[in-house]
Amino acid sequence: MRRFLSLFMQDLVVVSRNALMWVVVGALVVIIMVVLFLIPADYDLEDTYYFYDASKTGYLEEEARRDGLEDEFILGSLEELEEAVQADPGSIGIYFSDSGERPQITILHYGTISEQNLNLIAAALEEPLRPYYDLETGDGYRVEYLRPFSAPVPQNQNAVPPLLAFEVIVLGFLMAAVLLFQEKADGVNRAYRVTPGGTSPYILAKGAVFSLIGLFYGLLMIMPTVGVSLNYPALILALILGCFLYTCLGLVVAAFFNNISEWLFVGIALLMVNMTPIISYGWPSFSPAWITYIPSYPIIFGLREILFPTGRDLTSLYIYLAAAAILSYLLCHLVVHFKLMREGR
Amino acid sequence: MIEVKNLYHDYTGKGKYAVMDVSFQIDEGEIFGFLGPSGAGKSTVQNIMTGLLKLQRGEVLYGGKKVSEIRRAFFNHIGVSFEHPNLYSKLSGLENLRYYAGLFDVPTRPPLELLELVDLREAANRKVAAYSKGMKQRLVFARALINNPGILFLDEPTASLDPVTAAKVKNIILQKRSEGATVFLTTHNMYTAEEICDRVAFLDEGSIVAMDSPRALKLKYGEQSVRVEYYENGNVKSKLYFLAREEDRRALQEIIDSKEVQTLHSQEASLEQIFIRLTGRELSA
Repeated sequence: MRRFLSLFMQDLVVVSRNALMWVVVGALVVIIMVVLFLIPADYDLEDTYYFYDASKTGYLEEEARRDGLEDEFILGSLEELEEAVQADPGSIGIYFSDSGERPQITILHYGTISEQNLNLIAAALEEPLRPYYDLETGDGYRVEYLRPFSAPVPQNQNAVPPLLAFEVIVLGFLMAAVLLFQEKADGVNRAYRVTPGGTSPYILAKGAVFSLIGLFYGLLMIMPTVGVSLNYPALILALILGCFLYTCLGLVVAAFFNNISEWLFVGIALLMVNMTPIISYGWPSFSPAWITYIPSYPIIFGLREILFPTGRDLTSLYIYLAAAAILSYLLCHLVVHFKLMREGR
Repeated sequence: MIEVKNLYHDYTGKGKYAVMDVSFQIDEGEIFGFLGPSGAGKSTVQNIMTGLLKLQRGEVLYGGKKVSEIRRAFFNHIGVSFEHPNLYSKLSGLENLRYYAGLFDVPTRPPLELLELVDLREAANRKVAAYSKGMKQRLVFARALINNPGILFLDEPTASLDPVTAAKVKNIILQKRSEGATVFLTTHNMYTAEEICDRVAFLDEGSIVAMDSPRALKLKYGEQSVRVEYYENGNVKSKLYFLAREEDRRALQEIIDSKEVQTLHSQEASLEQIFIRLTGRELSA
């Protein structure tokens, strides 16, 4: 224990004197400012729809008004509809006519609309018109909610889980490499190798240092942005396990390089791959199997559940994190032992 | 007792040995000097003995126990001072010693006491990055003493030190011997070796060419010599001639007859001269 504490204090002091720590502090301030003041709490991500109902019955216009659509989106002629869509290229124009027994809908849009979106628009328009026309009824679609309903999360706070996953938790990956290269430059590993120190305290001390820094960094980021009413045990456990996991992975990668310049290309490439689950976070329907194997995938969704609970069980997240942390530690032990502690042997 | 038997080491794996058939033994409480020019294989032998390098061929025994069988606890009893100072540059001298002390399972010496010992007390709280090379060398030496080691491996401990500080370091080494420590001293400084070593081994191109006490070596190989300084082409040149050698005597006579001699000193052979005689190379090369 004495050995671990000594290494822990040593690493903590060395890291605290690294210029990168000031970058981290600066990043923390910028992140808090961006979340609080630059990202609005709510913004409309919906497409803009303009309607022109040319039918004699005016059923669609009636339904649209009933649905609360404002007057400015309900237009009086096809020309007006075309002008509106031309003025706002991102919008979609719905031209409805009733030339016979069956209603006819024409969609005006600059660019292409995916088949899925076309089907969704068709389904959304058919449903209110069904009582007026002899449309086939049936279970063309149904909506199923895979998780319980929860209060909507403000958009700015919704940015906090990815920031925690890709800024706070990966800090250990980056800083462990920086610390390792500093040690290589100073040549201190040779001095360590002629002590009873050993590989385990060496790794555990670094893991503990970056878990502690990550924990404080994370809490300092969350409290001003999300608030202080949090599930602290769940959050602390996730942050510590996540930081430890990435510190071990950082040591595994850095052990194969001699300095930050050599490491840079591979290190940054891995960090970029690690960030790909952010796509799934923004568009949950995009979750191919390979992306779910990236450790940040369960972490990012787990952190969202911890910060904005919907009632999902977090046991699987902790089992995953604990197993991944243990595996990465074992791998790290193997690599550090043979690459650093037995260098030249 | 430390025994090194038929040690070989090949960095290239192509049969080009950096160390070849090196054998010696060091008694408890002895200062054993390993002398040789840079690249002779001194540090390689020390690194094998401390476990930093893999033992490829031969044997290293501590009290009869093979170095390959030695476990981590062994490091509680040795101290290693490296030739190239390897310290945390972002930590102060005091912090370097304090955290290093925490790695041992045995009682350690107070860091400030050690800093005092090597005249670094005033620089205790200064970052090592701001230390001079000599200060770093002294700190590395002090670090080697932190766990009160019974065996000390010192690689060029007086390099980069001024004569006063070097003398202080030598006294500390002698003090350690008087306390019963065994010292393996690697150096190319013949004066240091001559002053403090009980026995020395000359290493040249990976092999031991002679080994004995400095006095015995002088008796065995030492010859009366004459150092002559003379003018040649406007420059002062210096040469050493061994009087027992016919060709040296002839050459000296030729210098006296043909050159403008500035000084002429007869002297007892030094370890360096013996090394030159045995290997044809200078220690400082």
